[in-house]
Amino acid sequence: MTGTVIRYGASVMAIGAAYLTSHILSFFSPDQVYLFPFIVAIVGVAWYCGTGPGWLAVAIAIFVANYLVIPPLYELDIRTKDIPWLLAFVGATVVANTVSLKRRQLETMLVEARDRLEERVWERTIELQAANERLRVEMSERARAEAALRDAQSELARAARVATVAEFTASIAHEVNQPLTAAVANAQAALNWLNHKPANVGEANQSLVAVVAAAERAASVIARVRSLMVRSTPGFEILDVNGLIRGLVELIRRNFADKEIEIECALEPTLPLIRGDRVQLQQLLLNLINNAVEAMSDVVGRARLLRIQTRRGDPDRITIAIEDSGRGLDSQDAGRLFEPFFSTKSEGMGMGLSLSRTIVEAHGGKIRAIPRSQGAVFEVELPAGTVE
Amino acid sequence: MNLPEPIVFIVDDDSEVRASLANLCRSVGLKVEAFASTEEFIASDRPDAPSCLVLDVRFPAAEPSGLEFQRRLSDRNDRVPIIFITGHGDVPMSVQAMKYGALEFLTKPVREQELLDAIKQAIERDRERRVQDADLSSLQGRYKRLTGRERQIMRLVSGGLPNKQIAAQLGLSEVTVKVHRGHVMQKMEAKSLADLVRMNGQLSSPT
Repeated sequence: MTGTVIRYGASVMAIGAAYLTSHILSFFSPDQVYLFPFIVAIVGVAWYCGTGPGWLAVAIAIFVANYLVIPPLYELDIRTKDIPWLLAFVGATVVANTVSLKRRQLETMLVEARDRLEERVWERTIELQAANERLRVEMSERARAEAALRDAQSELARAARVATVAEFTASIAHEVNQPLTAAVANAQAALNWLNHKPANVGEANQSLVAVVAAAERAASVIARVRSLMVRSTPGFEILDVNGLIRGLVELIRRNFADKEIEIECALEPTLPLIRGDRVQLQQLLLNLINNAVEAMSDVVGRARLLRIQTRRGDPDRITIAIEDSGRGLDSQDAGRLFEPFFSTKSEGMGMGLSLSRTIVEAHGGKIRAIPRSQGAVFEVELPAGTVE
Repeated sequence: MNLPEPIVFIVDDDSEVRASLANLCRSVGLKVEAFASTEEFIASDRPDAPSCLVLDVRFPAAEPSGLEFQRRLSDRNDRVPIIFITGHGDVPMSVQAMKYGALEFLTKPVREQELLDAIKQAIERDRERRVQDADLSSLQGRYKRLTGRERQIMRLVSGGLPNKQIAAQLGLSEVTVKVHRGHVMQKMEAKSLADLVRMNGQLSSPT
């Protein structure tokens, strides 16, 4: 509202100023009639104050020019010869006003368009940044998903192994339980027969014979399991232990990247060849490496270092040492580590190290665990291949 | 009532286990019959004596058809109490066995005392059931000797109606009702009215 009053006021004052200018100019050169200040004022008003004030300025300018500038002064009458001249002035004011208004309108539109453009550029930039951010999140999610997939796969493989072992164990348990049941029942029966008055020695005797038979059956089950666990004649061949280790490390290195484990190999270049079963020795090394990795899984604040070393030991023997910087060993546990079903892990089967020892012994070697201040070393000693 | 000597049936496909369980039962003076399969057991001609069945759940012939076996037994109105023994007693399995009507569920190797206690309990339960069954069948025999009118009067008497109302309901004289009622008491070997009411209850409740 105030803005409107100011704009119309400015329009009136601009025409006043134009008249003043025209009047002052006429002192210097009285022969001339000065109308151009009005045109300038109209252009200015139309430009700065808008349509309404523009047309008001045109109206006032025509009136003022007729009343005060064009003779005869101070009356609205006009001499006939001045009519075309006045009409030309009126036309000029209208044209000046219209052009100025149009210009102003275009200018305003231009400014608005520029502002809109800037705004859109800004919006677009924000959108792009958001998209970029989304992409980054998706990428890290994808990486996480891939890691989870890898974990799930190895978990699945482990579960399958455990399931197989569990199934196997259940069937062994049943096989052993049957003769055990028979032995217990028969032994109890024998006691009962002997407690009869008088003692029934004949029945007791037969019961005890049945106990012996049942116990022998249980023993034969165990013997069968043993022979299953380790093939009686391993497929022995001449092997390069260093090569075996390098192959394994190649295979597993990929798995270690996301566990943040560093592998260091110190392999003796002049290591003698050995005679052994490739698959069993691979299984042995994998068992020991998995154990080491497992032992380091909850280590924080220091390096997780897996060190695999080979050396020449006593004449004609080689030593493989697998060292970790994990949680270490209890000296109490060290003695029992290689017993079957002994495990320090909550979910462990207690089969790994027991099987490892069986394999090492089948190769005429020895295995031992040495606790360190941080971590542990497992040393496997094997005879070199020239000895047989 | 005198019943013949109790008998333990053992069904286990492992001959050694079967023989050892039989031996254990014999050593405490129980009569035993052992079978290698549920088929053999069902086909056998069993003596009418208090008995129980010791069944190894795991063995191949029984495991897939434990329920089927149970159904066949009940089809034959064979209510021999069953003691299950198994090598690997897990909870779902024992629940299932109990549903089949198992009396006990024992895991191998079986503790002697547990098994013998379970057997004694099962035989005792079977003996009680047999006594009850025998009571009921003699009761049914006596009931069969009643005439239609006498049965009618027995039902009404047991329902607590006085002779007068019974007479009115059946359109008889009160004296006739009294005579019939005397016959009923005599034929049913009832010592008192309360006794007769109990007999009526036993006859009408389906066991």
